[in-house]
Amino acid sequence: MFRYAVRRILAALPLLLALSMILFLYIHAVPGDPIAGMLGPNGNPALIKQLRHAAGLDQSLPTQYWHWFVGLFHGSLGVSLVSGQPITPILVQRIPATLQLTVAALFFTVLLGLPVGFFAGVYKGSWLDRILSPLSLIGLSIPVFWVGTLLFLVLGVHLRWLPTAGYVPFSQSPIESLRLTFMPAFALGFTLAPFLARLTRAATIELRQEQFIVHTTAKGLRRSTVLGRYLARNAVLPVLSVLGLQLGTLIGGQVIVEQVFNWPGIGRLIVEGAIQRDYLMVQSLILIIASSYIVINLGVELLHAWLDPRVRL
Amino acid sequence: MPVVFDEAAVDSESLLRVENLSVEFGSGPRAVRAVDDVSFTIGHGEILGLVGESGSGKSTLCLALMRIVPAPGVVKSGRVVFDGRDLGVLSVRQMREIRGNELALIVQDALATMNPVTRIEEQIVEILRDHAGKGTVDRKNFRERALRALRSVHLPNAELNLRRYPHQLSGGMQQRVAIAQGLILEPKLIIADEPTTALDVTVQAQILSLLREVRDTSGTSIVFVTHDLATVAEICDRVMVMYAGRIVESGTVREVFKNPEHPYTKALLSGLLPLVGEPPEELDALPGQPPRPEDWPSGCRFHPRCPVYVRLGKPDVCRETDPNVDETQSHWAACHFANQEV
Ligand code: SF4
Repeated sequence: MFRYAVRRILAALPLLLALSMILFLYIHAVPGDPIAGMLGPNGNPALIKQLRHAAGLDQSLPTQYWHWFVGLFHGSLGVSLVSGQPITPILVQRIPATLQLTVAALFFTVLLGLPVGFFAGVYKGSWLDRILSPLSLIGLSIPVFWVGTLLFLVLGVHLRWLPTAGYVPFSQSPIESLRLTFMPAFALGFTLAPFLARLTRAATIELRQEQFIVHTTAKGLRRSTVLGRYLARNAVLPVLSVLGLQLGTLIGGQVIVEQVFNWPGIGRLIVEGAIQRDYLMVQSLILIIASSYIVINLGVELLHAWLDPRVRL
Repeated sequence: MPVVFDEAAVDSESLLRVENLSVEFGSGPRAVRAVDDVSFTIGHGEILGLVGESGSGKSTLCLALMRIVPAPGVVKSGRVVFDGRDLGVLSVRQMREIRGNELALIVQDALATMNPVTRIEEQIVEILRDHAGKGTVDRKNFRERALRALRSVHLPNAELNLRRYPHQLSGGMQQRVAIAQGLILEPKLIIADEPTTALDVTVQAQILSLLREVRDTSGTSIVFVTHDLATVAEICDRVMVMYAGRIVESGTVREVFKNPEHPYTKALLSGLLPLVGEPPEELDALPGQPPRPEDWPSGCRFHPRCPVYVRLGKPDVCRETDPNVDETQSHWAACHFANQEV
């Protein structure tokens, strides 16, 4: 297991490097000069030139990349073109909120999706399955902002059970922080769970045909053993590998949910950065998100290997 | 919960008695009868060979004995009386307590029957745990018993292999583990459905001698399913030949091998005659294809391939009438011309 983990981590490093290069090229391939765009059509050419020089945009692409790359190693993502502030501290400030929302959303996704899909699969064709499966299909087609707004109106405005918007760091007031997290996280989890449920259901149904499941009857094993140790443990494996990929949807959904609930996460920084044409900000944010995507998938892979001994070769 | 005891079923001679058992797949007019009106008995400590081509219904028969025929298959009629109990009337719970405990099934592909994500130890211990009384969690004792079970099937490095996962073992070791799983609760009857087919010759011989050892030391009865006649001659006491869902000949190994009465058995055995090198593995020495349950031939189901039928000028009786048999005889064959020299 340890050797497998080391191997996977080493394999992820070149991926991160390639990611930074592609991202850099992509951003710089977008037509239009960021400085000229920022200043608008009436920008003073001399000023543009001066600003370009200050931002290093008049250097060759490899040189620019090299500077950026070296900066990354020192933990510096550069300076925002709009505010002139270093980007790293701004990001670091936002990360806890994003992390908290991501973890909470994932928690609801799994909490809702896994059991629903599993039991619908185990009792395929029963009344339970016949209620849950169409429900998950409906759930699949509900957009996240709709769920978010509905929660907002019902729980926040009408019933006044939960605070409607904002963010308080967990360290400052755990209870208030969790109360504030509930709605955005639930909205995200609720929209992602149906997909997970359908996946789990399909995996469970497929598993039930396997000989090692059928043979549990011949061994006279108890139902609880078959459900827990045989079906659940094996059904989770195919689901897990897809769950990592689904994180992209989660990040995309966050951008919307953060707007609805006024959540100060990375998603809103992207929106602001894009509107203000702060290219370095956008570049840094995408780098962070894409890297976390790689890291999370690495984590999922390691978890998969831990659960499935056949993977650790 | 008292087990349903059937006065008539108590039989000191036989451990298992099968009466007119039929298994169908599907229902209505399109139902397919994979096992058709099969009756036989197995005595205590007896090894009964069950021979036939694939598709003859022998595996389905095995599943029916354990009452685990998968849907859409159903036991259509007949009784299976095991150790004085009619299995057909037991509850699901009573049946679960018997399976894996008094009645064990070992199949060809041992790996496919194991949970790929848990260790061998867990796979053996869970059988002990699930058949122990409620709330019995004696892990240390279970582990000891699992170890003993692995040693009893001569698995090398039992300690180490207990910590391994199924896919890390060789085919022979996997089959030994499967047998250890089957034996750990000292069942009265083991149903072994081609347990050696997937293994190489040396390992085959080891597994066979292991099964015989189990019978000799514990008095366990065994149904041994195979399509290799050499194996039958080696370890079985009695043998039944199955063809197209029916038993066509039954007798002691000596009777059947020395004096086969059914043309099908004769054909099988003649395939053994050139005893140079290895005996042929597959029983496909006969002309034509083995029939399939969708279209069993009329009358004697063997007639489209029967050399005797052809030699006798295709008598109508073979095509039109099922051969009658006297199943009380020690040795019998389902053929109209069984005892005639042809
Ligand atoms: S009954 Fe006729 S067809 Fe059938 S085995 Fe005997 S001789 Fe052959």
